[in-house]
Amino acid sequence: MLCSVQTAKSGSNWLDRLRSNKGIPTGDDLDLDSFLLTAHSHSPRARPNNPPRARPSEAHDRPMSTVLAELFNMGATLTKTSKKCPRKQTNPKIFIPSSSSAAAAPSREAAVPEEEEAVADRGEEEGNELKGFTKSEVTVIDTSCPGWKVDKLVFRKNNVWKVRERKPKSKRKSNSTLDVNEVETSK
Amino acid sequence: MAPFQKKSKKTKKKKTKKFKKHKQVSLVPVEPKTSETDWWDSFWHKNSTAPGYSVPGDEAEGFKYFFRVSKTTFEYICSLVREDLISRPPSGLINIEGRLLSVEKQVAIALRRLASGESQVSVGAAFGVGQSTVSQVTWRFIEALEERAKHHLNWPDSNRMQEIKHGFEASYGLPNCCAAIDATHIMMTLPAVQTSNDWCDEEKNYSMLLQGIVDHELRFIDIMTGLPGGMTFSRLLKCSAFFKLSENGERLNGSVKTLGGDDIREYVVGGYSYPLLPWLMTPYETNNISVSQSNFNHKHGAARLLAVRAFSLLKGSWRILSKVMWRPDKRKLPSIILTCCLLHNIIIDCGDSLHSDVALSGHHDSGYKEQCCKQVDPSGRTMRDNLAKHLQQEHN
Repeated sequence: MLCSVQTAKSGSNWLDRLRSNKGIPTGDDLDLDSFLLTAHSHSPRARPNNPPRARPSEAHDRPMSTVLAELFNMGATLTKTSKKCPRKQTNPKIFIPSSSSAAAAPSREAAVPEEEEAVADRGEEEGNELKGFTKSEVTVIDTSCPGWKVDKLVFRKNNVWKVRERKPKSKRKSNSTLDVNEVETSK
Repeated sequence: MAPFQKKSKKTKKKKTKKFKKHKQVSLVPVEPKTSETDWWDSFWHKNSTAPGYSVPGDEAEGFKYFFRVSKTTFEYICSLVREDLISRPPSGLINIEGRLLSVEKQVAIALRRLASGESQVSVGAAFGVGQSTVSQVTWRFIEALEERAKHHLNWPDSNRMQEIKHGFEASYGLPNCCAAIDATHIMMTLPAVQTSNDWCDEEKNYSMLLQGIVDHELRFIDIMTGLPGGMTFSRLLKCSAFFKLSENGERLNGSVKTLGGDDIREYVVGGYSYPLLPWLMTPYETNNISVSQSNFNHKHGAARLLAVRAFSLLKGSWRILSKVMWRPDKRKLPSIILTCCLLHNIIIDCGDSLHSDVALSGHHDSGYKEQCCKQVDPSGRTMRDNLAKHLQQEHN
């Protein structure tokens, strides 16, 4: 559809393309009075450059971005077929900043993301939980850990940090997740 | 007979990788034994009067000036890493005459790079080697030392912990105190493509954090590094295995002292950046405090200074940590930091005395305000009050 419009519009200026797109006659010899009188009849002559549309009902309700995309060759990516992700969490959780040692103690989760991709695949809850977080891969040396070196993923959103173990080679899930939310004040 | 021999050779090759490498070494002429001290003679001749350095006239002191360690400790470090450095000679480690670099010269190059924090080009020029050789040698040294010197940095056993506790009590009057905790920022620049807010700290620098727990002799007994500088020290603590172990009663779980009917368990001391926990004592806030609380703060502050001094010494001795590192590999940087901590401990363990002017003149984390963690655990508060009460009774 887009291609055929582009082919048809070659050689005409943007105003002509806009007119033809909206079914208004183009050219030098315009008879707008008669067009307005017959506007509701949808005569094929009134839209000479438009091929029959598969979904004619959408033609009148299309968003302006689509119309502009067609007019100015902005590419097919702007068509309304692309699905938008919801901006907000669908199941928001209550966030309680820790103020006691009990709240600050590491909580454990059953599942740990093993790889970058695995994080995204952990289901809707996990995806929503990490929405808006930036992610960094880090190598941590901790002399109180067996082996000292651990690859971790650090997620950050402002003052909220989540640190998770990353085991790129293993596909098994482990329980060793440190996942603590906290907001702290700085003097 | 011949095929059988071949087969046995093949299986042997697989089993003894290092042996195979040794064989390869022998193909390249190794510098004669006597040449191993030559590097120092030529280095000293070239650099002792170089402009920009205030090198001590005495050669032994001059050695320490450049490498932070005495010649004896230097030889000990060489012995730790010798097997790793001598057995894997890539072509880049051959000097201009086509001979392999001696282990001593490699260790000297790496120590000079870590101690001075100067560019690889400058360090290379001082030794008559190229930048890439400095890069390779330093990294190989770091990899070797972090494996071979692990025994210089570990949590003390109960006997050693008794000594540490005696040390704290004798010097600061704090009963059952095991260590002091602090943290510092290691600053760096990042390539434009890797620039990330995660590494950006509160002072708008890109940095990595190092948490250290220090005994009464300024030795690191536990470290953690690798996490971004944007974290608070309190958050960093909670990410550490030390925190988890202490919370679970698997660390700082030694003998409890009963003083005046109150139980004083094992603990460490930390600054305002840390939460007040039963095993982590922080100072009282300075507004409207009692005499006993002020007395506690005084003694606590003196003990806590050990960690501050240890970090000043660490960053002053190994200036690569106090300069802004130029686009380091963030996966390798923790190893560089660890190696510097290991070297710091080796110096103490070997009984070397450092020049007093080696430590940083200012605070190890200058440019950063002290953070304030408001978290107070009720049993931590009770423990601190008991300690303050005991110290006041001792004082009177």
